[in-house]
Amino acid sequence: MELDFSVWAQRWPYLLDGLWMTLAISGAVLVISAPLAVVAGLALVARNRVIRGAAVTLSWLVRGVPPLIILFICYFVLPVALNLRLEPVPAAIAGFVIYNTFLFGELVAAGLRAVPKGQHEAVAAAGLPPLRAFRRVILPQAIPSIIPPYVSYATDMVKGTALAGSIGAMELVTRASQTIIATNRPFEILIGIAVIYGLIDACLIVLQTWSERRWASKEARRA
Amino acid sequence: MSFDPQILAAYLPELWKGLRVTLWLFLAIMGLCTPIALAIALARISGRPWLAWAAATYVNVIRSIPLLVILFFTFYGLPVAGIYVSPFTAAMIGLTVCTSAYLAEDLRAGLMAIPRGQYEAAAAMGLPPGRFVARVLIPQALPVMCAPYFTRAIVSLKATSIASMVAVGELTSESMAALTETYRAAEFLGFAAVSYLVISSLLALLQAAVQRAVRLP
Amino acid sequence: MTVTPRRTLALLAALGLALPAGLATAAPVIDENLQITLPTPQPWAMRNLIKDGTLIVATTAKTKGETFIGDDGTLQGARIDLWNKIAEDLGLKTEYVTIDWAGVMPGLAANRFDLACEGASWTPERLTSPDFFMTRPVKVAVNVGVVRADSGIDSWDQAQGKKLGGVKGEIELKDLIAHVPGADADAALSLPGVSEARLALMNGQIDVYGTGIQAAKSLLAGPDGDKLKILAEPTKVGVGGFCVNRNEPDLAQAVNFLLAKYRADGTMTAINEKWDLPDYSDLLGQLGY
Repeated sequence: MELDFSVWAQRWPYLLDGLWMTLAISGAVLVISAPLAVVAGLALVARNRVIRGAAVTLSWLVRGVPPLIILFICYFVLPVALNLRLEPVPAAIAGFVIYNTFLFGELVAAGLRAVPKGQHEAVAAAGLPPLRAFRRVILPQAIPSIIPPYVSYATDMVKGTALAGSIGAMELVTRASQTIIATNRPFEILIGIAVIYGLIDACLIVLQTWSERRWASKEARRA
Repeated sequence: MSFDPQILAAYLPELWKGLRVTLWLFLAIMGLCTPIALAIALARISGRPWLAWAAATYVNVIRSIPLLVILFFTFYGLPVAGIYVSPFTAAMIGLTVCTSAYLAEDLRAGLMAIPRGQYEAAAAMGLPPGRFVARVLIPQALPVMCAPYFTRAIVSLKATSIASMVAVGELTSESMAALTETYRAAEFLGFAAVSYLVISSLLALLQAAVQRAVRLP
Repeated sequence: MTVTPRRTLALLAALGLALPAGLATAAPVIDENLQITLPTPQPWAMRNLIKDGTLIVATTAKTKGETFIGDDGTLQGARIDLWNKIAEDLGLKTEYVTIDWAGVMPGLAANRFDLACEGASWTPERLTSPDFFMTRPVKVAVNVGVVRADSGIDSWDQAQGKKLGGVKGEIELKDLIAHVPGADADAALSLPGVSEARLALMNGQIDVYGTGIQAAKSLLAGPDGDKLKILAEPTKVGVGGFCVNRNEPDLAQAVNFLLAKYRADGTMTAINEKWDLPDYSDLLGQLGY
């Protein structure tokens, strides 16, 4: 078998458009779902039974159903149920945000559980306002144990955006598979796609290493 | 959209077969990944530079490659070099390689929640590393690792659907095949969604039980 | 009326004369030069479209010749031309949604698209589906087996005991399994798509790939196509049409009307020739289409 990468010379503009869409969807999802995940994480460990119960149930449903089905609900079921017609890209972003909020929310909850109970009691005893206590004391301690899995899921999420093709958002992988059909050059196209994803994920992993160091040094300074 | 349960009954043997393949694939990869991932996570925090470097490289390289591409090369690429593997084996290898990297990161995060001081204390007391890991580190990290572990397990359960890309007739693949044949979407997608939800619910119940059992005092 | 011998004779004589005369006088009624016009609504009122004035069509853009992404990165093919022509004649704009197969039928059932599928094979289930209407055929679906040129398989008898494969869920794969004597459906390899099936065939993971004649020809025209061949005898010959949104019987009616018109006035043949697709006019004619 001979590899012939000339297909890229001809087809790159079409594939590049797909890369922009992959980046736009991934970026929007990561930015929107990060704060929502903190809220979801707090709700998952809330002392209030109703809030915790609601969060746990939602998390169970959202994490238990395949992401494809969540996308289908956003794109196909909402127009019928709520008369809300989302275009493919907003529908894809909405679907992935719902899914990742609870996926990341579980990570935040796990991080919060790692903070010893005594600390929660200590900040309450010290009379710190709850929001400030959370932001200044609890969250900084939870973050080091949240970052590695968060970035892991982020790299997974970027690759997971390929599913958006099934609701009409023409991202990188969907365009690649159309190009493979048109050219019969699967290996050349796939190697190129793997390199592109590798570069995106490498950026995320560099970000992870950097933020881990930053938190580690902060902690060291505190100690 | 109409819903006709009878069409599900007609395809039940195929769907049931798909469900069984999904379960076996899931159990196989979790069984293989858990010890591998734990070993990688421990290597990363071991403090031995070359071991930590090797583990970090594995994790970062694998996380950068789409699972689909890994599977594509194990199944369609290897035969070009004269190596043949069955679809199930190709999927199992690909998913294990990939999931162990992700799971290693999840477990490492749990291990990092243990204050560094304990490592030094253990070293000062002359506690052998194996014993330190088994008796001190893991018991403390378990409550923290529990939720990410099960979250990853649920994600992996659904990742098995990518095995359909290498001709494994698992749940998603069989459901999509029935959909393609009959052009009936609601019934077969609904069946797949409910099946995944049921399995992941069992995992969530298991998670709750384990979490209660390992809760820190 | 009382029949007398004389009258009978006269009647017979009249008939005898009238027989050739009758043929002669009947001729103008079926005169080939007779101008027949079909009443065509102008404009054709479409009451149930999802978006007024727009025909929303879903396609995977993964069938070479029919709908695919060209070198210039645009959606093109014989079906695109056909859909554009239909929309033009109905006074509509087209809006194409390129979407993975997983989303096509759910979208049609969920009222997202007016029209979908570039050539869905007619099957009893699909013809009676409560989720969509099937239009009249736009093509004859010839399903064939593709083998490696050096495989030594030249007939279906020689395909016995060989590894069969195709795209999962496709009728083409089912037809292949049904056509090979003693084939085991469970042993056949269901691949996710056309390009994967091609690789599996090249790799020897399957020996016979069941697919449509068009996809098969495209493989033979592609890279390493000379290493493949198509078995002469098809596994099955059927027909394929479009799927129309269940809420739009008026669109189904109009599309059927126009497809018949395009068959008659040569539009269909011209489009197929432009994209190098076979012209199935004669075969479709045999079926009354």
